[in-house]
Amino acid sequence: MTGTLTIVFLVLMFLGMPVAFAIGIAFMFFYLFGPMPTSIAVQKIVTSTQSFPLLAVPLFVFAGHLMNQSGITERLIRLSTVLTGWIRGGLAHVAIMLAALMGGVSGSAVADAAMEARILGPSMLQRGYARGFVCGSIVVGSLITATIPPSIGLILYGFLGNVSIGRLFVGGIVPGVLMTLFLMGTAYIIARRRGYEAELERIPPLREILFKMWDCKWALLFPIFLIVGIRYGIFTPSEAGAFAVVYAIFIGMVVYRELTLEKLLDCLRHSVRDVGMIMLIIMLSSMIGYVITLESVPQNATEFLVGLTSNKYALMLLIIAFIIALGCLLESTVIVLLLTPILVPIVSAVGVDLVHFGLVMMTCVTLGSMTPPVGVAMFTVCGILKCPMDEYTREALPFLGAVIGLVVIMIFWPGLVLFLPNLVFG
Amino acid sequence: MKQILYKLEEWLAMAFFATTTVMVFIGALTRTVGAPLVWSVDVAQLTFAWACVLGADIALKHNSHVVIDIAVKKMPAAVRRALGLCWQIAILVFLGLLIWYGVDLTLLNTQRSLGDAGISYAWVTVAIPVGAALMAITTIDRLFGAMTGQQSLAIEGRDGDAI
Repeated sequence: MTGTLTIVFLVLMFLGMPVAFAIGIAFMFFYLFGPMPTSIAVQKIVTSTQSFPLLAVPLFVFAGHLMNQSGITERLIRLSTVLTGWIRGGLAHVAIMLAALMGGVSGSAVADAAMEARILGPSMLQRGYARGFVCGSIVVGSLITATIPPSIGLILYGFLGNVSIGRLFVGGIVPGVLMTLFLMGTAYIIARRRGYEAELERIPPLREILFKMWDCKWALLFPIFLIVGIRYGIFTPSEAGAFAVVYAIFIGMVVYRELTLEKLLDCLRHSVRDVGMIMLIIMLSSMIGYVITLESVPQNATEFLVGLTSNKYALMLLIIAFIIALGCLLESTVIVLLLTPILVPIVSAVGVDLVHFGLVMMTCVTLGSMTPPVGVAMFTVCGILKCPMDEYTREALPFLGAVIGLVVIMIFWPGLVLFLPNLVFG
Repeated sequence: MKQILYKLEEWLAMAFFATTTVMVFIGALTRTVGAPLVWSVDVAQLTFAWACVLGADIALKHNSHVVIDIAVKKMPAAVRRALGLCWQIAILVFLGLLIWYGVDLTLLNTQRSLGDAGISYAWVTVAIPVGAALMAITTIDRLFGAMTGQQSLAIEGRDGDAI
């Protein structure tokens, strides 16, 4: 039955029905005609809103909106400029560095990409950078934001796969930093070849850099508060989300005095809409859980895949190739929600660490919103900067290649990801 | 009139979500200082359920639910309109089912209480049929709008932007 319903779901979705309803309608058939009483469907939907760990997702969405309005962004741009502006292709490095620094306060790649396209995009074009290059560096750069803690994607994965969100957060640090270096390296090579200039004439004096860092202390300290708080059990990840909201409001209203009540309400308004969108998918896809357990889909999928190869590296490469291909067509949230419950049992059966897999998987899932023909981060940025799709595709390829290279390194070198979480959590 | 109701719905959703945030924060705070407020979590989850369903309807009004339009984009406008009409009707039927069985479940849940708060669990359950009813009204409104030619039902891609 799962197979038939999945086909119904796919047909509805690709014929343009909103994804949440395509899931809901397809799997409603199971409850209407299957062995279960139909009201169990509603029961499932209700229960999915009553999970305390899940609250981390909406709360960090809200916190992300607030951080963007609190005056933190402008200060981080100034810091990024002194840190990286002196390298060839200056503003592209500033964009990538900004994504890394924003990563510590925000958990959403798309929100970061949209912000950068609005604030940095026009000046990058003014410097004469190719439109596709500008979009490529901003869009793929925003992947760093989704890797460095907090990360909404990792929270969703941890929630669905029952994996420690604290460990996942700490596990994101090294890949996030490496991704920053890889992408800046790529931008440097391209800038050199095309003769893009640096933004600053020389490396700014250390004094100035330290001064700008001090100016950003509230943003730079936040991820440390977050990890220390979760590590020592001061708050759970969901409570950390509420803490992040209060922290952003405090910084924005009391410290920087840039967040007005009007802006705060506007953030709340946008968050409610985002939460409604994400939660409708989560609520309706909770109907699937019962069906796949009842028909032991994860077990069958495990048997099938482990039958192909029981080598964990080969298996991970296979899964990752599948996710990247799927990511070209589907939206990230949908992929996490549908695949995590199936993939987690498979990889744990062959002995892959779930934190390691989570980082690899979420990097590729999030990459899905940057790959053509369908990708939210890509649409958002190319829409704002009026970049044709083929130009974006051509210019984003080196950046996408750098990320995929890093993912392959992450797959074959688990210690790279796991070293820090093991150190912090023991 | 429609505007006022929309504003009311939006303010309610915002108030619910704000309460969720405050309650989670207070729960953590009171636990850290050693005097935990047990009901804060229950209130947070109750208001969250309501924020979710109202938010879902608001997102529906803004057409901001995720739609994959890669295949549909290439089809002629008439086909897209016909599909759009079919989907609206299918969604309406689905929401009708949710209302019907949601009311059923709510009546079953009146005796069950939510956590330690002494609130009936039915207050949580009833959010689903109410939310479904609101979305059904939005859908009917869109169908009417299409019939009178004020709105188009043709499918346009929309992408979610959470992660």
